[in-house]
Amino acid sequence: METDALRRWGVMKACSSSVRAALAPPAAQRGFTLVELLVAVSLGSVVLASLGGGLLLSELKVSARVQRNLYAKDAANRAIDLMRREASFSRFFASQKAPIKGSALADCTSATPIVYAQRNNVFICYKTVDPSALPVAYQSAYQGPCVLVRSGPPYKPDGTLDLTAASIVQVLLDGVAKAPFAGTLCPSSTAFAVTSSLDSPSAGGVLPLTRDANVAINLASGVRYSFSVRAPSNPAYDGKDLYAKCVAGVTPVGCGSEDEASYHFWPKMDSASESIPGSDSRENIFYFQYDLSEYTLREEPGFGSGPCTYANCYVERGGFAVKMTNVDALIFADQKIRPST
Amino acid sequence: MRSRSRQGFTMIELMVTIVVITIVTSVIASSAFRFLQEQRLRQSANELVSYLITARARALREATDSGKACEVEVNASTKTVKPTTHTDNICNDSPSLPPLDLLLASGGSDLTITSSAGKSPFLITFTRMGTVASTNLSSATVVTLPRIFYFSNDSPGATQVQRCVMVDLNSVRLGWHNNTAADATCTYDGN
Repeated sequence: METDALRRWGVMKACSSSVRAALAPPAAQRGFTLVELLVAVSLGSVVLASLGGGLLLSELKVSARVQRNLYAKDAANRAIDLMRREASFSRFFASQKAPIKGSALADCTSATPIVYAQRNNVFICYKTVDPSALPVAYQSAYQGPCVLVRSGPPYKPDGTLDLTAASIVQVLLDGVAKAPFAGTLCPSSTAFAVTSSLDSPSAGGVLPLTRDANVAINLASGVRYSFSVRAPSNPAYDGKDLYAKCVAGVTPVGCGSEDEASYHFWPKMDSASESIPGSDSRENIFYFQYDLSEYTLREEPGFGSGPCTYANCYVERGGFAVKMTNVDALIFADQKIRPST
Repeated sequence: MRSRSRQGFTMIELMVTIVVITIVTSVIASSAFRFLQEQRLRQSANELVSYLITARARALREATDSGKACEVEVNASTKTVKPTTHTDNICNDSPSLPPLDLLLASGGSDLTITSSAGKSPFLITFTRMGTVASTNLSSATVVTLPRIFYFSNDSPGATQVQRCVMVDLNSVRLGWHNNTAADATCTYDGN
């Protein structure tokens, strides 16, 4: 019995295996094994992560670029705004021979900057320099190829210039382009265009001056900023523009400015022997930058001579002096006087 | 006898798997920790930049009277920035500029603030021209520009990461510095 039972069991088992084998799906229709699934999921994750990461990175780069552009725009606007504000308080602009001289960085004579005079003969200039000209500690903080710097007196807390302090150099803007300014160099010689109103400034005067300045800044990003500004006229000068300081001993033409009735002179006051002869045929008006109280007026050089007269007038300040003839009027920053005849 | 394919994992396989997972998790956790540290420092430095820009804007807008300015002090010890109590400080007039807790802004993590020059508290005075004055309302000591504030997190074992805030004549900029560099220079926004 037992043998039969076992035989039947063997037969059934054999039948069952063959039936299962017959009913089993073909290999192509079987499911994935766990290993296949894991490999597929891993590969899929890597691909998805790469794509997602790439997209995220791209988005971050765009965002950073937008942020940089916004910053550059804001910084340029702030620099322009400060220059415009400072220029609006100026007396005049000059395009060359600026008087600030100090360190190589502060030196404004090596560039052709905007220069303007505040009261008390204070000058401010702007120029572009290579970042390598800045103190080593800060060189890498500023982006080239050029950096716009301001050389002039610092600010006091009340927002006025500290006219007693020495001029200092401070960075206004970085990322300023070389081109088209001077092509390849910092400082650029044409970053700032100062429009002179004088036709022939060298005829009888030096340091051509103007009340009009055109400022243009090109950023490395290709953006260009520009503005024009007119310096307010000195009220003491009756709105008269003075275009150039006089050269000692020259004829009146081209020195200062002229109209049909008068000549206008601006003595240089940079030596003790300046001499400016007035014209016999026109009214001669001489201008001085400071208040009358700062000058000493005499008829002739030397102690004991009489007061300033039409025929001879000698004006001195701080060791510098000018000798004038045919003097119809002297105009100082605070008042005007007419010498006795 | 059971077939080979139906056997479980061996102890060796299990251990190797656990070790690999542990290493990967450690690397990810370390990166995440460093990322969070950076973000906290960035947040703190960003808050200072925003505060200084607000102070400057207020000086431009309100310090129209002669002698008025906006003066703020950055205190490295208390990690705070606030207006000074000087009578000519427009930012201390009602409503005064509220104090800012830089430590709170950094998520309460370790925070060290140093400056390129001077001693804490560091004073900055914004004029009605929007410029930084060479001296302050509360002190006649000359301020050298640019003034840079360094934000660092030097908790033990962490990579020291720095953020920098540079105050120039007419700009306030946020920068960063990886302390692996030999010098203390930073790269600033816009660079």
